[in-house]
This record gives sequence, structure tokens and C-alpha cells, in this order.
Amino acid sequence: MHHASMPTLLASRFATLASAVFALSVLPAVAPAATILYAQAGADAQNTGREQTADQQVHHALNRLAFGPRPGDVERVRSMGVDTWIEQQLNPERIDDAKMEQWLTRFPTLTMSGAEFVAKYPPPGQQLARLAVQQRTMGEMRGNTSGDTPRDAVSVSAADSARLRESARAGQRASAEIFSARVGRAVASERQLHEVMVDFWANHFNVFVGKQQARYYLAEYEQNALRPHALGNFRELLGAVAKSPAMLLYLDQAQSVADSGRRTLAQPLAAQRNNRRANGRLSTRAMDRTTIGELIDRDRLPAQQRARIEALPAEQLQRVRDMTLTQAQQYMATLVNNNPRRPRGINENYARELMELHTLGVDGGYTQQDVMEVARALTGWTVARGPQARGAQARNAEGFMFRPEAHDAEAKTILGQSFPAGRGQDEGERVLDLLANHPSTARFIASKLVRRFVSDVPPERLVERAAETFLDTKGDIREVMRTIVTSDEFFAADAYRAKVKTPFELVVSASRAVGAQPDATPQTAQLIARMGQPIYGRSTPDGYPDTADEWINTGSILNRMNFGLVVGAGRLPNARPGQWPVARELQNKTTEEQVDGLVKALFGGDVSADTRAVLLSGENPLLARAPAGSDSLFTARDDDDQAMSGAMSNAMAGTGSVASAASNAPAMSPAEMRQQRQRQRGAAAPLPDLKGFPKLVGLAFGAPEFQRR
Amino acid sequence: MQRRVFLKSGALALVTMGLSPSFLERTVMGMSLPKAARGKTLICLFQRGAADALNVVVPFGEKAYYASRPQLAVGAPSRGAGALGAIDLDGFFGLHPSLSPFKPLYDRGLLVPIHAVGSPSATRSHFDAQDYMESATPDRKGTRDGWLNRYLATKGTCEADCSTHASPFRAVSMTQQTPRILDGESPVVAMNSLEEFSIRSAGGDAEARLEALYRTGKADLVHGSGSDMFEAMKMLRSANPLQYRPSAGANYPRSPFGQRLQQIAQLIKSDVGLEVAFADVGGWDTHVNQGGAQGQLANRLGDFAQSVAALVHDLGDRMDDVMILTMSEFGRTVRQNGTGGTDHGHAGAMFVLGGNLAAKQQVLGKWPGLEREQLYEGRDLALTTDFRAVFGEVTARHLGGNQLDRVFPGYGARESEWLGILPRV
Repeated sequence: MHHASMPTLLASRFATLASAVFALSVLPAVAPAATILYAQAGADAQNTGREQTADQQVHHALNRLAFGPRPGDVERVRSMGVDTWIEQQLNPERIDDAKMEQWLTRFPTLTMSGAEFVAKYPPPGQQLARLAVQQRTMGEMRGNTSGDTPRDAVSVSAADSARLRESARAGQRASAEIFSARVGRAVASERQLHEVMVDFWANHFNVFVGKQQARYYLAEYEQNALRPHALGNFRELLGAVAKSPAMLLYLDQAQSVADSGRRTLAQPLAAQRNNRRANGRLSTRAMDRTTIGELIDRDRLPAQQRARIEALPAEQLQRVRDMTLTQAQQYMATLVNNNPRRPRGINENYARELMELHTLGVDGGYTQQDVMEVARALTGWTVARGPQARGAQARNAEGFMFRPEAHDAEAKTILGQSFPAGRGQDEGERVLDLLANHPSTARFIASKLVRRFVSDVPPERLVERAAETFLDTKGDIREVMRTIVTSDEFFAADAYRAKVKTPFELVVSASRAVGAQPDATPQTAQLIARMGQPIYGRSTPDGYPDTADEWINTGSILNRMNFGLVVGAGRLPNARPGQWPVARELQNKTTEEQVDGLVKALFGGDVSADTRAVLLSGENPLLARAPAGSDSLFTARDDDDQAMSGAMSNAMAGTGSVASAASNAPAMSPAEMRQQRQRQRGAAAPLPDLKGFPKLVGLAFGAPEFQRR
Repeated sequence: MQRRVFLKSGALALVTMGLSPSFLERTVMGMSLPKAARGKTLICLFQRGAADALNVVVPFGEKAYYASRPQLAVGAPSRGAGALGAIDLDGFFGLHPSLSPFKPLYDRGLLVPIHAVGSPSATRSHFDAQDYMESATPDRKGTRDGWLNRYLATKGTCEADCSTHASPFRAVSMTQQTPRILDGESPVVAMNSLEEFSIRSAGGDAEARLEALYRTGKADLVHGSGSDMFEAMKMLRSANPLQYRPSAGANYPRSPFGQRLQQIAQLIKSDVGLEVAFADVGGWDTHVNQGGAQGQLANRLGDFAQSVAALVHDLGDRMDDVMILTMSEFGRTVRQNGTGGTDHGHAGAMFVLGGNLAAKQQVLGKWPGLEREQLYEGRDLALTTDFRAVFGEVTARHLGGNQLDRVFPGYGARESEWLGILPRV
């Protein structure tokens, strides 16, 4: 990309000089002065390799480590120095965010555990079940025990169904608070990098609101799993996610139990006693140096295991006799898995995505066998429900529960490492240790972060350095981020405006640009959903894509232009044009002053000559050179109002695909679907003819430059 | 930076060929439509999430089928009225009862199922398998583009006469984002609905100004897509597809999938030059409580079959020039799992619909059997037909694609593996 900028050498020298001066003159209140000076000095040494101008660096940092600048942000960051600001953002706990916290208190849902949520807004199925019990009791009281109706049959009166619908709506409103809070925080939190990281991890560890009861646990998922570790330690983040009911339900882990026939921890006491007796003085390790044949001959095998081995066909028995105990167990596991008669209890879904999407990456070097073994290791990790839930919370892992009787207690081998039998929950923890500290994981996480923060095509050397930091610091996310966002690659000329905004980033950055207050209604979140990125609305565990070609196509670019017009028309929720300092300042100026003022406020004065010309006169120099007769391009106007008013109507793209993808999604009543459709239409109604300054605003927010960050 | 190359309708074209592409002049002025208008159309429908092929096209003649799925199996076709068994096709295979709208189409020779078809890759990852099905390069992740786009790119309309431009609606995806299968250098329009395809300002010159902002001659992704969009929007207005109502007997469900198929029919009827259309539908990843003749999967199949059957009825005689191809990334385990569902498997099933099929009233593909030793890795339906054999035959014999070695790199034509879905050209 070409920018009208001063030569690189001059630029970087200026940057160095500028930041040195500001480092001395402005000391931010949030961190000890010594830290800042040190950080500044360190940064200065690196500054020499930065290709972006000092001004570009400020805009770049605000667009990447924050969701774009608010009025005044550019000046603030410029005066404190971009490196100082980055250092602040890397330490969110030191940033005062009291105003935000105060604003969030309006959402009672945010601090509810899933169990509380379910209790307050019981799922329709649960309510129906209650109804059935009531009806049965009533029937029995009336002496009606004829039994010609099935036990679980319920008759639902009109009043019942109205009550059910109202309660479902209340539940949906409560869920919507989670979305509003996410957007509100992105718009107004001072801890911007933290919010960007929450967005990143929520997408990396994607869960889907429409999957069974996962939606009840979204608030605690974000609050307890994602937020505390967003810039923390990756292993802790991974563990918090693994134990979150939202993820346990979303990827079916909660339902995965040991295959029948496997030894579980259900009979642990008796079985272990037997084991000890049978093993005599042989430790497990010693047993693994001894062949099965010897163990059998010396009568050192537990009776149950011996019986299973001796039940094998002769040929297989002969092979097993030469194996160690662990080898034999694995061998028999494959036999078990290939036996069509055996009902299976394990569900591989979470185990697979844990490796493919959360840690190693799809090419991270694991096999189908590893997937099955990890699934076995995690059997018993589930969600405590009903009366169990309170006890589980007391153990400081909201709703998580380890069920020993569902846990496959036999030995496993994962990624070449052996996991001895009978370790219970600790075995799963060890699997997470292994995965979190694996070099493939370091690489995979590093490359995703670099893609998010630097470029769709991550510079290979930066990925390597970030992965090294990951391994050196045992997954300290803050340090990995520091490596990335203080690098020369981050401040390379190529990286400037190289990323296309996702719909979330587009809407939030526009809200910030016009100084909007956070929106307590669901409207802003709905706007984002209609543009194709509903919050917690991606049904597949891979999360939303993070490259331009996935977000930009003829349909989406149209939605983006229309969004610009929405901003121009003053329809962006909680953004009153009168409160926007830029608008107040430019209101009565000439068109040229308005254009320049807008370009400065939104783009740091940096747009192409073409864009400026179009904003100024409506004329495009290139098009103006076109031969006569080409007017149709500009005058083609639709007579058909229908085509206009339907704009974005059915969109709710996200919701459309959410509804279709959500096999288990709570069904919407036809009335609710109608209402939703009407809401969407309302949002898509044609906007008034924009004139003057509002039109310029609409065009600027719809311009190609605003699609980038 | 990876960028789409904008051929013909992109911003580059404006720079090199002057302003208004000829198709636009013609359509705006009500003159003749682009050449491709009455050509062939291929509609690809993707069931995302891995549909359970064994409960879609039910091998009720297999004992092992019933042994492996005590709770999930669909019963054999029942003589008794009202019983929900499979719908008999050939004495061995039957359709899931929710697919009843397909039976008359099968009887009329408008629909054939293909069984034990899919990707030769061993992957059981949804994402990889969808990727492979859409790139048509199994186990090769480096492929950037999708096979439908490679077809479009290799069979440009420019070979004979470069003044004839391809319609911007040559390839349409009724999805929010361009799917992998249509990714690539040839332009594609992606949208959720036809209604949303317009600028929201009532009057004034905001639309013209926006157009000017994007048509500055820059060829990057953002500008290029914007230019493409304005061309497409104007053509759509002039053709006004929404005027076409469904034909009698075509009852589209009100589901998002049904509505999208209806709009594909409207595009076909308005002769905007639609050659390749795509839509997808989710909800097939039935790990839990899948159900048998009734239940979760049955409901998905009901919506699916009613939508596709409505599309066929709606298109009527136009089906002579239309093919519909359904696909899903892989099948599911033969055995039911511990949670009343099925896990990720291997080979799957497809449906081919068209007015010009050579194969009629039969289930295509070699059946590998479900006995233990016949299963893939001891657990899944084995593969006997590579999906590229189906894609290749349809590309060549229906669309007239002739560079199969480029559309299916590393595989090519392999005519000997084709199933004889379509008559020889």
C-alpha cells in the first residue's frame, strides 16, 4: 500500500525524537514512573526499525490494540507516546475503569452462574416436565390411574403456553444482556486491549448460543473463564475453558462417558484393594517391565483383567502375552473400539477440537488414536446440574464436576506419552499441561495472534519469535503480545490499514469514532448480528474467520455502505450527532472544511486524493473522464420501492444461519419469528435522503478507508 | 497480501476497458440479455455438519444396519399403513420417511441417490472435510480456491468474444459470506436474500457518491468488491427477479433454507445468467438424540426435502437445463454412540436431481456392505466413489467444462470412474 508519507529514515528519526520528548514531559498516572521510563527507553531502541510515521503509529496502535480511536484519543496517545500507551494497555489491571464497571451494574445477568440462570429462567423442557409432574399428581389425587396416557404426556393449555412463551422471552432478554455488555465494554472500556483480547479468545474458544443449554452459561463463561485470563497464562485459560459448562455442553464433553466394559473409578475402592493384593510388592512401574505372560504365570494380575485377557482368541492371547501391561491395555482398547457389538460411551467431539482448534492446530501432529485417547482421558468431566450444582460451585469451578464413575480409569498413551491407569481428574489436567506447553500450540497461538494484530499473512519471523516467547514464558499471553505489538513487523508500512474490520470491529469503531455512549439496549449487538457476526452466534467451533477475503464480498460491502449511511442518518444507537465534538465544530463550516475535518477526525488526514475529491464534490476524477452515455451508472434509480425497503431485511444473516444451524436451538414461536422479522425490517427501512454534513458523515463511514484498520 | 483478481467486472476492467461494461448497457437499456442467460445451471446444496447417510438413504436390506443401531435405525418399508418405515426404492435401499417428497421425483427419473460416496481423506474433522469437499483437493490444505470457482475461471465466457461479459450473477451464493467452494478469481455474488441487495438511501445522490468512492481504479479487495457490487445491483434492478412467484404446487417451507431456494428459482426465471448457485443448511451434526424415523434428524430432512422438491416443481421445464447436487462433508459412524447419536464417520450419500439424467430409478454407487470387515477403519461406511468422480462428470457433461485437469488438480477427468449420471455429450 502506498502512503503519502515522508521518507522512512526521516520518519523513524522523528518518531524516536518525538517519543523521547514526550516521555520526559508526560508521565501517565497509572504506572510508576520508573517503569514507564524503562519501557520508553527500551522502545526507543527498537523504534529505529519502524517504518510507519509517528502519526501512523498512533492511529495504527489505536486501531489494533483498541477498537479504534474515540474523539481525543489520538492526541492523548500522541502526547504520552505510543509505547507508553501500549505498556499501559498491556497492564489492564492498573487502568481505572470504574465508569465502565458502574455502567455494567445494570445487567444482573452478568454475575449469574449458569445454575442461577437456569433457576430463574427455566428451559421450556424443564417447565413442561414440571407441568407433567403436576398433572400426574393431580390425576392421581383424582384417582385417575388408568394408565392409558403415557407417563410423560403433558397437556398444555393456552394459558400454560402463553406463560411458557413469556418465560422464554424473559430468558432471551436476559441472554441479550450478555451481548449488550460485550459491545458496551468494547465501545467504552478504558481497558481496550483487554477487550480486544476477550474478543480474540471468545472467538478462539468459540461456543454457540444455540447449542442446547450452553446459552445459560455464557455469562459465567465470559466472566470466569475468558476475562480473568485474557492476558494471563494460556494453560490457566485453557483449563478454565475446559471446565466451563458452556464449553462442556457445546462440544458434548458433558455427555461423554467411559465405554461400557472399561474399568471406571466407580468400583475404585474394591478394585484398587484387589489390585494391591494381586500386585503384591510389584509397583505399577515394575509391572510395566514385566510381560503379561509372566504376570499371568506368577498370578500377579487382577482377576478381572486376567479373565479379559484369557478370553481373547488364541492368536491374540499369544500376542498379548509378550506385551507389557500398558501395551496390552492399548491393544485391547483398539480391539474394543473395533467391536461393533459394544455400545460406545465416549464422545470425541471436544477431544478433537481441543487439539485441532484450541491447542495444537490441525497440523499439530496428533492422530485419530490420540483423539480417542484424549476423549477417554477426559471422560467424567461434566456439568453438575440441579441439586449437585451448588456443591460444585463451592469447589470454585462453576458447575464443573468430575464424575469418577464415568471416568475411563485404564491407561492411555497420548502424543507418545503414557498415562498410567487410575489417576482420575488429574489425568485430564496432565493432558491439558501437555497440550498447553506443546511447541505446536505455541506456534498455532502465535500465528493466530499475529494474524489478528499484524496481517492476514503473518510474517513468518514474527510468528517464530512470538512462539519462542510463548514457550519461554510457559504461555504468558501478555509477554507474547508484547513481542508482537512492539515489533518492527507490527509497525511496518505494509501492516498499516492492512486488516479489514470484522462487522464487530466496524460497528464498535464507528460508535467510538462518534463518541457514542455504550448502548444498554440490544440494538447495537443486533446491528452487528445483521452484518454477519452475531455474538456467540457462530455455530461451528472454529470461530469467525480473521482474514479480509472471508469478510469482503459484494454482499457484505453493500451492508457496510448501508451501515455508513445509518451512521450519517444519526441512527447509530446512543450516538447523538449533537454530542459529537467533531460535528459541533464542523456544523457551520464550508464543505471543504467539513471534508477535511472529517478526514482528519476519522482517518488522521490520510485518505486517497480520490476519496477526498468524491467527498468534496461527488465527482470521481476517474469516472469524470469516462465517455458520455455512462450516466446510467449514476442515475440508475430504482422505481421499485420494494427492492429498496427490503434492504438488509431478511439479513439477520447471523440469525438466519443460527436458526438453521441450531439443531438444538430453543425453537422460536411463529409469533416471535414474525416480531423478529418486523424488527429487522424496521432496522432496514430506507433512510431519509441525506444532505449536507450528515451525508458527508454517511459517505465517510461507508468509504473504503473506514473498512480497514 | 492475497487478493482476488477482478476479471472482467472488477475495477481493473474499468481502467482498461472504459466505463460501462456492455452487459450493463444492454440490460439497463432493455436490450438483449447476456449469452449465458439460457445456458445450463448447476445448484450445489451443502448439508453442513455431516448428514447421517445411513439414515438418509437407508440400507434396510442390511442386517448389520439394525444390529449397529438398535435405537436409531429406520425400519424396513412396512406394508402396514401409517407405519414409519423407509420408503422402498429398490428392495434394498429406502428413503428416510421424511424424504417422501423425493419419492415421486425418483419415480419420474428426476432424482437419483448416490451411496458410499465422499472424500478419500481419512479426516473426521468437519472443517477439514468441508474444506476438501469444497476445494476438491482432499488432504491438500494449500488449495486456496474452490472447485466451482475453478470451473468458472477455466471456462470463461471470453474465449470467443471478449465484448461479451459474464453476468455478475453467473455465480451466486445465497449465504452471508462467499463459501469456500466458490472462493477464487472468478467473481461471485454472495447475499442472504435478493431484497437486501440495494443501497438504503431514499433519493439523493448518496448512492452515486458511494459508487464513486469505490470506483477509483484501485484494485484492492475492498474497492474491487464495491465495484462488483454496483454492477450487480443495477443488473438485478433491471431484471427484477422478485416479480416471479412460485409455480403452482411449489410449496417452499418458510425456513431460511426454503426461502433461499425460492430466490435461486427467481434468479433462474429472471434470466440473469445464473450458471452456478450455492446454498447451505446446517444442523446435521447429530451427536446427541438424533432420533430414528422421527426426531431431530427427521425434522432436518423434512425441511430439506420439502425445500428441494419445491425448487424442482417451481422450475418445471427449466429442470431440463438445471442440475441440483446435494453434498455433506462425510457420513457418520455405523454404530450409534452412547448419547443416542452418531459420531463423525467416512463415506456419505448425495442426491442428484435434473431433467436430463441418464441414470433413472436406481441408487448409484457400489455398496460396500456393513459387516465388520467391510467397514472403513472398523467403524464407518467405506468409500466406493470419490466425490470428484461425481463433480467431474457433472462439470463436464452438464456444464460443458473441458479443463478437468485444472478444475480437479491431481485427479483430472478419470472418465472410467464416472457413474453414468448424465448422458454422454
